[in-house]
Amino acid sequence: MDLSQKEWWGLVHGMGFGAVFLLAFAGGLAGLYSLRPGLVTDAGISERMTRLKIGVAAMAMAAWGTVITGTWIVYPWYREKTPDSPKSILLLSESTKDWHEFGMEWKEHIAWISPILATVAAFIVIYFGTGLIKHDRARKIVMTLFVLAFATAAIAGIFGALITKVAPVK
Amino acid sequence: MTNLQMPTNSATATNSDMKSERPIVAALLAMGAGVVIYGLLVVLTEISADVKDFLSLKDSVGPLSGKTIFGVLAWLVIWAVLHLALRKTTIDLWRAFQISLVMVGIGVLFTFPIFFKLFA
Repeated sequence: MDLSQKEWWGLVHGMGFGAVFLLAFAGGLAGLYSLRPGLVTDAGISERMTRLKIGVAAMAMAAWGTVITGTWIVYPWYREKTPDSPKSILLLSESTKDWHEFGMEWKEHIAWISPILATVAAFIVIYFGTGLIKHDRARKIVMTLFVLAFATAAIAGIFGALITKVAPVK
Repeated sequence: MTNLQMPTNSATATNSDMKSERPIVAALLAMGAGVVIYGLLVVLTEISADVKDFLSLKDSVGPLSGKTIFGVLAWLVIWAVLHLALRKTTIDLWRAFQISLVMVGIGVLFTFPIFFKLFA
């Protein structure tokens, strides 16, 4: 039942920040979708906006947490120049080298686009505040950024999970 | 003062309590530009060994260290500059969003291994 330090950081990177990101995305998207005149009472707007601001900020912070821990803590273990590092193991065989040359190469790069999009989405929500309910165009822009931030993170997350299954950092 | 395009706010966005859209326009355009620059760094690393060495700020992380640090710095600097530069310029929010989406698409393409390895 013990986890090594490397496995522990892998969990923090993928499941800790990843879970917060997923929860914040789902809650934030639902909140943004229903943030329309007629669907929210005046009394509910203030309470909902506070929750929405916390949600979008959490999503952005989780995205930053994921890429920072991934790049600066877990990735160096993945690419260690030793025969038993995950990268070395994957490149050893023709049948697994694409996991690195395509999967990891795309994952490590596309992941960093997600926090940028999530930060701008959070900025728009915080900037407009309750005014967002009257600004349908801005609300739709935020929702699109939200989905794109999630999509780029999902590509990275899926490849991360699959690569970890083939050659885990341990 | 440059007037690139008249604002065409949505019908629900014309209330007097509505904040200016200019900071959002700046944020969106900076986002797009930042993603393109980040993607360009990915491609340039494949093209030039010198760029790859320059971007390898930390040996254990390799060139990804420089791509991410310089990419994020470029995005933040551009955001600050556009925020100030667009204070008196009116650009339609939806147009700015469309431009930023195209730039994000280009940036994503630049991070796609099959694409950037064409330059290796």
